[in-house]
Parts: sequence; structure tokens; C-alpha cells
Amino acid sequence: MKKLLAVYINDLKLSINGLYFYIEVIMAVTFIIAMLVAIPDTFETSREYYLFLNLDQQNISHSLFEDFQDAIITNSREELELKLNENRNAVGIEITERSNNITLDIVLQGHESQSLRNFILAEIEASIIADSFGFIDIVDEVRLQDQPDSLSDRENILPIYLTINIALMGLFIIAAYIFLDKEEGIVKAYAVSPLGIWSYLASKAFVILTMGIVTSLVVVFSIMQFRVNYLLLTFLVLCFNVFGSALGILITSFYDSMIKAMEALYLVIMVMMIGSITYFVPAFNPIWIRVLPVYPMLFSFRELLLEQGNILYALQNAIIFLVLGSFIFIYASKRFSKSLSV
Amino acid sequence: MRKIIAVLYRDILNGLRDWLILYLAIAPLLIALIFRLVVPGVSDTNLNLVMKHGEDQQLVSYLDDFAKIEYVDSLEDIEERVLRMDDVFGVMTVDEKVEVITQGNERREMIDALKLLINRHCHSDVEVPINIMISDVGWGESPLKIEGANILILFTSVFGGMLILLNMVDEKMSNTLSSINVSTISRFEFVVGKSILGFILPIVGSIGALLILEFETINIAHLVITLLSIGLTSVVIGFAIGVYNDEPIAAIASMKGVFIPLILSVAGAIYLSDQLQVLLFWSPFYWAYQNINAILLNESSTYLIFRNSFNIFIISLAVFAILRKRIIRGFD
Repeated sequence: MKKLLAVYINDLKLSINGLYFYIEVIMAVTFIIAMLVAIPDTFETSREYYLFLNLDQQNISHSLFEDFQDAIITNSREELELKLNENRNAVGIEITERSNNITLDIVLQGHESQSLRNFILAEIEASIIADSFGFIDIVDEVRLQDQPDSLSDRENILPIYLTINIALMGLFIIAAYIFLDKEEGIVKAYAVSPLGIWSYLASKAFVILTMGIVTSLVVVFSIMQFRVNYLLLTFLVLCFNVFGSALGILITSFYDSMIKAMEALYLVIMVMMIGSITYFVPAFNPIWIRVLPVYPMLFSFRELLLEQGNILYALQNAIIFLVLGSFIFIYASKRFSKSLSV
Repeated sequence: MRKIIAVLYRDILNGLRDWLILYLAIAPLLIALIFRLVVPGVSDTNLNLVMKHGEDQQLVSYLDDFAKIEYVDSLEDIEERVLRMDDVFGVMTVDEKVEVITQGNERREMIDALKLLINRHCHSDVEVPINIMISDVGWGESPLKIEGANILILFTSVFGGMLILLNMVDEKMSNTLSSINVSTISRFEFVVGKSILGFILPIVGSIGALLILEFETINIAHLVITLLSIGLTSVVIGFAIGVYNDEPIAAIASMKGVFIPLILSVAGAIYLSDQLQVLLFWSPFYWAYQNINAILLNESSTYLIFRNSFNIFIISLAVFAILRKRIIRGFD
């Protein structure tokens, strides 16, 4: 253990002298500045509405129109469609009145699914009925958690940053370390030393972990100050980072050139990133996405940042990844010891 | 010219020997394929519900029109499902009323809409006083697919620069740069020869990916102009980092330095209000994003493409001017 510590301290000193350390620091500072200066606390996601009133007389008195006060008025159906073609995020509404018969035509873009169309149709019908005389609300809402809290849009970016920067980037960096040292024959030197290859790999993983913990603490503190349990955050970063590095070592062990390994890692990361779609679209949650490692990582970080988040869920995932990461690490270092070539 | 081709030929040969080029060309296609499978699922889902087996059949078939429903056996199972990380609402009939079970952190509009919808069902005897219909203007591309394709193209183009970066680090590590310095090939020829692959692969990859994603009517010329200009940025960064580093760690860490402005530019372009977009004008990725967006929407005009590409070009030149000394020193 003492020897491992010595190797680790040596590696840490080397990396502080190298460019890697400074790049990490600059990146973290840039991210903090961008988050605090350029990213607003809440995002504007308002959608534009275009309205065309196709009426017999120009007396707009129906209560329905009150709902469309924000809409931009157009003068013909053609103009309405033209506007929708210019702005693919917009929605149009045409209201036709013929001898007291009112027709409401919701003009969508065309990519909306049938279930979404049914949903919109039913929602409008429902809101009209809810406004009508003698309506009794017979639906109760039961909340399972008393005071739900949520992150601001800005804070909501943090789990993504933590997952990509801390957990996944370890994959790349560890591969780069290994190929560098392979060139210089260091890996073979370790193999014949009493320390063994595993301590070499572990020391590298610890250096990356140290950088990960320091940068994530600084970044989270600048944005959320004292609202976070930093001990738990450190533990989460530790577990996910160990998993990331172990996976990086395992993938690297299958390749003999750095570029090829990078390619494989790049592909792995891109596939895993698909798991983050669910983070932004919570209604999309097929099982295959929930088993991608990114999914539990993102949500664990989110739960940790929430004031009353589900800490148990985060801890449970952290431990699973730590155990999984350890097994992968043991298997990968066995592969290295056997082949001696990286 | 012959020397440039010789450098290119050597890189291709190297790349083919370890399958690298094939791999690089296939990676964006593979991701496009996966993405294509994912998109319909994402745009099809709006509302997820969990209900008990044997719930009121009329209510179930009404909700089935616009929601994805899971069935469980007991109230405890409903609560357990609702409390999980994703957004799923429980619906249960209790006597004459209906309960909507929420965790509490879901989007408010979604909960209100669901309550309205169930009320609508329970008041199905009430007649709606107006006719409601839904039509569209025939635009079939979902916004998610467009954003996804855009990000994929940006990453693919940056990866062209990364290829150069890794190639250069490789040369540095095996000390072949010094051999190049004493050979008859000029530095300019060497740089051009090395860069060509970094331009060609992203173009091939992007067009292939767009075909897989069924963007068949886009303006290819506009896309190529955009890719060439953003490729220039990636190549400048690739050389600047690659030529200076004989250790891959810093090179790979610098790669993050390219990814983060890319992600910030895209996120900013999507979420920032029009007045705040100014904050992103320094980023070549922002202009590239705008170009690709216009191309995918079939709205690109030659003026727009050239104006934005010119911006990218100027920014790349500025980056080069700043890093010029570094790059030259790196060669020596």
C-alpha cells in the first residue's frame, strides 16, 4: 500500500507539471464562467402561436379568444401556413365562424404523432368543458412527496457536466496514459517490478480521480454553494470515476494502437450519451436506455443536488458502480499482465 | 502536389492497415442508425400512466388513445412505479372520483392536462359547443431528429481534427517529424497532405449519416461548404494541440477543450433568447450549428451559408494567428 501511495504521489507530481493539469483547470474555470455569466437561471421555451380569424362579422366576443391573447394575428390561411413554414416550432390556429357554428382548426407542423394529436384534441375539448357552467371537478391529485423541489434550468446542467467530465472522460485519459507509457516501456518495467501492473494502473486511475474530485467540487461549489452534501458528492464522483477508468482500461486492453482505442472509446461514449435523452425528455424511458450507465449516473447526481433528493437511490447506484468498476479493473489488469503488451 | 498526395497516401495506407479509416467512416453512420431507431420512440411518447389491472375499461380505452399505460396489481405497486426516476403518473378510480397519483416533481402542465382529460371523460355526456379539428402543413421532420443530426455532424467534423491531432501525436512520439523536417517536402505540403483526410472523412461521414436519417432533399453543396469551414477550425486546433504535445494525455484533455465549447454553443443556440445569442458569436460551432440547422430545414440560402462560413473562416484565422508561433515551434 505504501508503495502504491509512493507511485501515486509521483504520478500526481508528474501530472501537475504536465499540460493535462492546466487544461483541466482552465476547462473548469471556463465552464464556471459560462454557467454564471452566459446561461440564464431559467430557459425561455415559449412557443409562438399564429392565429387566423375566419369570421362572418368582425365581432370577437367569444370567451375562447381570451386564450389566444399572445397569438400573432395573420390575415389569411395562406399567411398562417407561410408563417408556420418559416418557423418550424410554431403552431397555428384558425377559427372559422359560419352562422354561429364555430370551428377551431389547430394547424400543426406534421411530424406530431397520432397520440399527441389525440392528446391536443382532447385537452382543448376538456378545457372548454371545464370552463362551462355547472362543471364539477371529480379528479383529485395525490402527491406522494410533500415538498418536491426541483433544480433551476442552470443547475440542471450540472449532472450532465459531472457525468461527461468526471465519469466518461476518464475513459479517454486513462487510455492516453497507458499508450504513452507503453511507448516508453514503463508498462513492462512495472510488470517485472514487485509492484505489478495493477498498481501502475491503479495509480493512474487515482490521479484522474483526484483531478475529477477537485474540479467537480470547485464547479459545484461555485454554482450551488452550501446547498449540497459535498461528502456524498465526493463519494459519487469516486464511484463513477472508478467505473469509467476501469471501463477505459478494459477497452484499451483490446487494442494495440492509441488511435484505434480512441475510436472505440469515442463510439462507446456516443452510444452512452443517448442515455441522456431521457434526462431531458422524462416521458421517454424504454428499458434499454435505463440500463445504459449514463442513466443512473445522471439521475444519481440530480438526486444528490436536490435538497430532498432520493439519497438512497444515489448511494445504491454509487455502490453498484464501485463494485462493478472493481471487478472490471481486476479483470482488465489480469489481461494486461498476461499479454504484457498494451 | 505529388508530395502532398504522398503524405495523404501514407496516411490512408496507415489508416487502412489498422482499419482506422473504415472505422472513422462507419462511426457516424452507426450512431445515425441507432439514432434513427430511437427518434420515433421519443416523439411518440407524451404521457406515461400506471394503472391497476381491472380498472374501469372505458377510462382505460379513453386514456389509451394518447398515453402509454403500464398495469400493476396493487396501489403499492402504483406508488412504487410513480416514485421511480422517470415521469409516470398513477391513475386510480376511488368510489365516484378519480385519483391522479404524482410524485410531485413532474411538470405542472402535464399534471393539469391529465386532470382535465380525465374530467373530460367523466363528463362525456356534456357536448362541446364548437367543432375542433387538427390539420398540419405537411412538415414531417421532428425537431429532435434535426437537433440530433446537427450535433452528430458537428461532432463528426470535430473528429476530423482529432484524427489529425492523434496522427501528429503519433508522429511526435515516434520521432518521425524530425525526419520530415530534413526531407525535401516543404512544411506547407506536409500540413496540407496531413489535413486532407481531416476534411474528407467528416464530409463522407456526415452525408452518409444524413442519408441514413432520411434527409434526402438537403442542399449538399451548402453542407460541404459548411463542413469545409468548420473543418478548418478543427484542423487548426488539431495541429495546434497535436504538434506541441508529445504526450497524448494533454492532447486528449485538450479534446475536452473542443467538446465543451461545442456543447455550450449548441445548448446556447437552442435555449438563449435572441438578444443573448450575441454571447455565442465568438464560437465557430455556433455559426456551423446555424448553417446546418438551416440546411436540414431546407431553408439555407447561399448568402446565409457564405456569411456564416465566412465568420467561421475569420475565427479560424484568428485562432491560427494566435497559435501560429506555437505550431511552428512545435514542428522544430
